[in-house]
Amino acid sequence: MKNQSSVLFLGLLLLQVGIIKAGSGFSQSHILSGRVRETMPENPNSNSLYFARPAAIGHDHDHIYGLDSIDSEIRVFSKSGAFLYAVGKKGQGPGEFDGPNDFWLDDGKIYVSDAGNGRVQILDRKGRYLGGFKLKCFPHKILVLDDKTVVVSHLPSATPGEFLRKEKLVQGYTSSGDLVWEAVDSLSDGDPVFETMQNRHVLKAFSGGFYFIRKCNDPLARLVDNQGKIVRTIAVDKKFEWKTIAVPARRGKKRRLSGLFWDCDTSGDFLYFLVPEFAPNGDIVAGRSLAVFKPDGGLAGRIDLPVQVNKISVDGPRIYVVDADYKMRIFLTEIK
Amino acid sequence: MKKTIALVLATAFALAALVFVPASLAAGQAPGCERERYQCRADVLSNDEGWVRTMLMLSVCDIAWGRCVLKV
Repeated sequence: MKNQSSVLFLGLLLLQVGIIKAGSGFSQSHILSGRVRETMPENPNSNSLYFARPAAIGHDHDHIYGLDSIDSEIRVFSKSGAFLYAVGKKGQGPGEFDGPNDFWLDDGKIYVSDAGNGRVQILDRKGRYLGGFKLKCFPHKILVLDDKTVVVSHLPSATPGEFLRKEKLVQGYTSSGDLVWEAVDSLSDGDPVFETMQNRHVLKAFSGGFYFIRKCNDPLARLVDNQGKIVRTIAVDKKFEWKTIAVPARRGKKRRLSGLFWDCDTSGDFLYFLVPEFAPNGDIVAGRSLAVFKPDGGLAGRIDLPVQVNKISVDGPRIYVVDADYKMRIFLTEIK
Repeated sequence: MKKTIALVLATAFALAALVFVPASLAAGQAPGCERERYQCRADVLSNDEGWVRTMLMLSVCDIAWGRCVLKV
């Protein structure tokens, strides 16, 4: 009887410790089991699952979309991974792309950052041309806000020898291409290569605006409203482990690149960072784990994938990825 | 005599530098070199290579841009 009481007491104590632990560091830890399993597409060896150069992957209620910048097309898949059809082809005409590098799905339309042609194109889900407009720069990322403002970003355009200068990296346009506002200064450095590296970023939508987050050297995610104003900055949790390397720069100097993520997505209120990792040669390369952040920047947990991946799109418990061999794959987690 | 030749050559070199290099640099601002530089950088950035390797390749793009500007 005494032994039974001791075991019961010990059990209750362990349970309590467990609850306290779960409630302190990882209050949202119940959303992340860390267990992931792959679901096989209907035709797992289909060539359509392999990209020549994947630029972005995304989804809506019914489909998965993968953008290939070399083939200049958006491939449309069912949610189970069956290839359905492709939108676009290489060219300069309506509905054609040259090195497209991003897209956005909104209200039955696809907005394409047609980078090589220096323009935004708007298509329906079947690829029929609906409109578009030219840009004064080569676009990098694109999204569309609730009020239909088309947000386009670019990388710093400084050429070697130009004086140090800041420029606005994000512009908001009407759907007919009129510039409405500009936002977010570049991090300028005077070295065009380093400047490019540290200004690479993603745009991710949230209610009433969007996140602007740099891939490295910047611990702040910026929340920008639909007027182009930075309304809040969110500091990344100090528990997050940055990947830092010293890189050669001009005049023999060494500079630091501290990597925050390789790719990023949002799902629900959470931000998912594909964490980069060190290659055996010391370089920073694509990783195989996702760090999950709460809206306040706090680390909520981590999901480990079985393979190295380059692009991610998180759809609740489903994670669509393009792996290091440029193959689209689907993983299921136990995120509720 | 040698002094005169050296002086003439130096003057010719200085004049060439003043006249041709700025003209070439101006030509570099033409869409051709800029577009090539953009294409090169876009290819590098979409390659998903490691970051050090990416920086080296971006440097190569800038060197190619320099050659284009100077019409080498």
